[in-house]
Amino acid sequence: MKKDLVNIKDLSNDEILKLFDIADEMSRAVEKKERLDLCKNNILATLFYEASTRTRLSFESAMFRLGGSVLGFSSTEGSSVSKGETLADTIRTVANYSDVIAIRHPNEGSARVASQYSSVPVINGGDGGHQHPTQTLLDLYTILKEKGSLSSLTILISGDLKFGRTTHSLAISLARFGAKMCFASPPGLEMPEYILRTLREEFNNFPQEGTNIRDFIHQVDAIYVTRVQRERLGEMEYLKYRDAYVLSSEVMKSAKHETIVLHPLPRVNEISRDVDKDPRALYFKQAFNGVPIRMALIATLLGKV
Amino acid sequence: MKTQMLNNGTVIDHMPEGMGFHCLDILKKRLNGNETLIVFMNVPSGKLKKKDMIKIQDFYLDEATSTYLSLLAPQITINIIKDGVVTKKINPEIPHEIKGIISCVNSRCITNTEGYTPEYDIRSKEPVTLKCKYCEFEFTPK
Ligand SMILES: [Zn+2]
Repeated sequence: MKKDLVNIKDLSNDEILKLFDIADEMSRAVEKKERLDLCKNNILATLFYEASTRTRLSFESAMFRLGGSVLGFSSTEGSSVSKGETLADTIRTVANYSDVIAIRHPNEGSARVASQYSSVPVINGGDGGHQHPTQTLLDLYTILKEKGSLSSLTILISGDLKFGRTTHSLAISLARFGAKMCFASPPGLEMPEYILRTLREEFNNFPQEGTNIRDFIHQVDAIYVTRVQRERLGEMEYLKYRDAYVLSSEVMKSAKHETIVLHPLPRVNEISRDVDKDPRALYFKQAFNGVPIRMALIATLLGKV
Repeated sequence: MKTQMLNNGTVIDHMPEGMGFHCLDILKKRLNGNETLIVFMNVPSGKLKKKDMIKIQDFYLDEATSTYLSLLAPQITINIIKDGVVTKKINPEIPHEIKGIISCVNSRCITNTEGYTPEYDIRSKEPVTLKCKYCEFEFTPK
């Protein structure tokens, strides 16, 4: 039976750990700049209904490294999408041209629709404010790879936790692996109640909540920084809280020696550039991990590993 | 049950106080405008303190609308009456999941933007909370 990755919940913990083992092998190939031939007869279609250069290039690089080929489009420009074709019809057509589909679409639930109409595996590359499971995988993979385990860790997630999609599925996934969490966000941009309820009811997980990263930085093993957008807060509030969510080398002085810093990128000013040379700053390594993780996922969905 | 004035039609009973007119609003799309109907409000009732009730002559409420109404007020009962006899007593049971009937409240949900049939898991029955299977948005229908 065809398997898709629409929601991080589609994968069991064991399946996630298995993917990470495969990603370790893929990492070695990427580091040596090798091109494998695992998927040499396969085609990946990248259907990007909204531009996300980083994610798309990462998918395409992964498929090329696996020895496969890539076709697709980015944004609605020049495709029949702008002529009003439904997603269902586009997917049915593209499934004839390819062996696996990666889709990014502005509407929530679109990846699920795609998986229902596709005869080939579908990977959700982001569906509006809902899910972005490959990002969650590479976040988890980076933490696990650096720390060796998740269950003994405390992780601080900071920034806009209300609208920040990546933080929701990351929090749930960390809870699945037994990690403890602290949330730092400006008033009004806290982690939504339904996420907190899921953490409580399904995982017996009770994160600490606060409004400043300084409240937690000394006690955590990893910091996952996200952006607070000016337009979400209003000018006065933004100015009031901006500095509470900026990770600078000064703030990093309070962190433990082995505390790692992650960010889904692109960053704006929420991590000062002077942190980049701190050996604890791992966000570029995290972005690198996007390729081996997607290689592992594509190869798995195609039944090649 | 005072059904003597209704020989053929539908009685929607045990609605919570104030739901009568809201229910009528929902029924408007299904009615053709010629039906005789009465809305009873603030009727003393044992189960609830006060209840609302609607009787509609020569109109038979469909299954989907019954389910919809039960999602708004789980305690309602619906009687279909033919020739003065209750032929069908719908005591709607809230299902574990539903398909169609109600639109997802998330305007950015793909089921709204491209018109796919929405599906929901029932997350809680008191109050009724639906979770969209597509966008995973949770809401209480109103
Ligand atoms: Zn929805």
